[in-house]
Amino acid sequence: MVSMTDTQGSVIERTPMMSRRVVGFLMVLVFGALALAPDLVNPGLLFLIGLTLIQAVFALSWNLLFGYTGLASFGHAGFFAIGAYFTGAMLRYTVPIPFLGMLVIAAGLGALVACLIGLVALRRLAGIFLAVLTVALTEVLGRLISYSPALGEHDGLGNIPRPKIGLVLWDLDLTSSRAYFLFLLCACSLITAALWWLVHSRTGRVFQAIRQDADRAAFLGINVARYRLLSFMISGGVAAMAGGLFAPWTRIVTLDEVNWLASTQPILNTLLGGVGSFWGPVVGAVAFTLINYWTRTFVGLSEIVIGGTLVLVIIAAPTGIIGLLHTIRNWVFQRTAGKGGTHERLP
Amino acid sequence: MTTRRTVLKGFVGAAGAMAGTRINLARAQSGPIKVGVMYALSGVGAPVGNAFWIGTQIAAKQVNRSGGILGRQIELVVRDDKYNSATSVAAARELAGEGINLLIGGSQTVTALGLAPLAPELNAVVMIAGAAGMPVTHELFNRNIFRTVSNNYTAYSSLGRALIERYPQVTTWISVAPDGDFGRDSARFFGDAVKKYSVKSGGKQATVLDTIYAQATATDFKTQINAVMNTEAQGLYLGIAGAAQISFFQQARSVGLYDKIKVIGEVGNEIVTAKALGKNLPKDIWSVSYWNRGLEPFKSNPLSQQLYDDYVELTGDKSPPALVMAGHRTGMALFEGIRKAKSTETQAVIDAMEDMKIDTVGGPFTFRKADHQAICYNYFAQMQPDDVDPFYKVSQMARVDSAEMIEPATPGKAFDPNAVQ
Repeated sequence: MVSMTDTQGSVIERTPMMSRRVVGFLMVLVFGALALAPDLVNPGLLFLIGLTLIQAVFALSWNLLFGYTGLASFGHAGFFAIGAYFTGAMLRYTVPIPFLGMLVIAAGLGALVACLIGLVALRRLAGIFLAVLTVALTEVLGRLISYSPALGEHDGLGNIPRPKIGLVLWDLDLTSSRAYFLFLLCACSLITAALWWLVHSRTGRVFQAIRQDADRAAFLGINVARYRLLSFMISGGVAAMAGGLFAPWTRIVTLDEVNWLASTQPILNTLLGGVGSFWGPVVGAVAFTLINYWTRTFVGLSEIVIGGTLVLVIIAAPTGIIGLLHTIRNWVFQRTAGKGGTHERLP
Repeated sequence: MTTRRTVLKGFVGAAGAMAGTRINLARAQSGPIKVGVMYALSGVGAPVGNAFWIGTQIAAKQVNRSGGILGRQIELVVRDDKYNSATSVAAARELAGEGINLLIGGSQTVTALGLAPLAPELNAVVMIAGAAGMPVTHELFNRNIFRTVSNNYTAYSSLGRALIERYPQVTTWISVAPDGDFGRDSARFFGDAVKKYSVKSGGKQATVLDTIYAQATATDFKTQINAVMNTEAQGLYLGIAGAAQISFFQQARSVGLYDKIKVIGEVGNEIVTAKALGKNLPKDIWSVSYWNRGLEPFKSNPLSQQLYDDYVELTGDKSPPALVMAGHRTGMALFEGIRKAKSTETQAVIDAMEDMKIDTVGGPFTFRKADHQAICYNYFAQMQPDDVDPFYKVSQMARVDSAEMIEPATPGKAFDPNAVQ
């Protein structure tokens, strides 16, 4: 069990809900089911599943910062947009860079911008500077794009072609929805696996130590500013890579991806799923999509249903869906244990 | 112990639910003709999207009332695109996955740009109802999309022409426009037309001063208004829309801009501004419009009266927004395409609409074959303050044939404003 304090100082206990073997088995099962999705589901639903994968990675990047390092970014859409517009423009104007290279460069750009912001904000050791600067980044990016005819100004960068990945012996053609979805699934799975490995590594434990008590971590010899900057750079890079995957999937990138509302999406997904869990943002992204999908025919009411559901979840389960499941599991186990105890006491 | 079993049960259930949504792609040849409709029905685009939706519903009702098409009724399947391109793309894919190959959408440019490249992949006909952005019928053109509204170039150059031909004595013009591509383009198209048609009308070339830019959602326009007051301009094009336009006029009135400026052309707020300002409306303002049933040429057009009657029956409201006509026209264009094609198959409907001429509430309507751009009349409403309730009046409707104002077709290539000077 790992325990940590949240922003109010209360303790969040990270107790795995399932054994690692079960989690691993479940992951393989989910991956297999998603790999079959192009043959099973409506193209509209497939498109939404693809968006959910991207949103899940985006939310994971935000939670690395907030849930693991204790830093808040309220303008995370800026990093997402850097990746989306970069990859979209490279593909649209057929710049001769391999697609995988574009994704790497997109992540590098996100990390670079995060580094520049982090150098200014994180040295002040106050989270509000970072939050404000990330919001400013999003605003500035939105302004720059709106003045750039090459990036589609207010109309957006449309008609983005899907890529082909040149391999040694053949080209991997990702132009069809099916092929790109499978690529998306692999890419998002790899990024998620890398983040899981990171937060469970020594570096991840350092991030958590800083989140719990930065002063104590510094006293123990941890270079807090450096690790915060590292976390911010990784978070920005992953968000940009999510954006890079987004552009060829939707085939259009607009200023909708560069505003405060887009920045709230990973926050909502994380809070809905559970900030205290690695899988919380993923569960939140899936839940958000399901709510959206089921309310899509309630014209004009879907936002009310979504908002109401979020309020309900936050009131009923402040630790998110994962936290709620955790509570239910503990309650069931306690009841079971209680019954067993009674039985033992019987003569 | 129970966790693994519960998880597996849950997964099997979820997989079953997903499989249950798998759609039979075989398209029905009988039963109603399903048409997918994607408008912005919530959020900031809702006032526009809802007006389009009402118009399209009325078109379907009228067709169904007269017996349908090919012996089948029209059934509209509506989705809210939320004024968001990704939501619009998801809706189009979902509708296509349900076997619907006839789609109406794009009440705004941002959603149309998402739909346009998708249409061939979905093998669908996509009617773009309201998006006026130039790329739709230029660099994003493909044969599956049809735009049923004039583009920005045609609309705002027509407004410029309409005004300079009616007010040749106004020799100096200026624009106040939002600081963005739409604002820059519409002001440029307006100004270029003013210069061009001032000479064609036999007068001296009008002077068009540098455009003054403002934030699209600003509430304080004192700087821009003072800048206009310090020029020689007597004519104004106002590209600021929505609530911001009303703020602009309220502030402009208090500093005497109404006395200085003889005539104003505005972007398309129309009676929204008139209702808000009433007696405080500028004394001569022209608005991009679509329909006014009480004035010619609509007054004597039975299609217009029928649209009004159906609007009142559907909504209970007696003051229809002009955009209802644009949604109606879009529906009618698609339905007539199906009727002419005698088929609902994508290719047949495309072929039929490329060579189709129909009568609409706004007059004759056709598509330019090369780029599927609508050719129709562009209407402008003259609004003035009035002494009796509702304290404004629409005095007259002017129209300009878009066939005379349309840019050369360059399907697949970006629009070049310099090529139409």
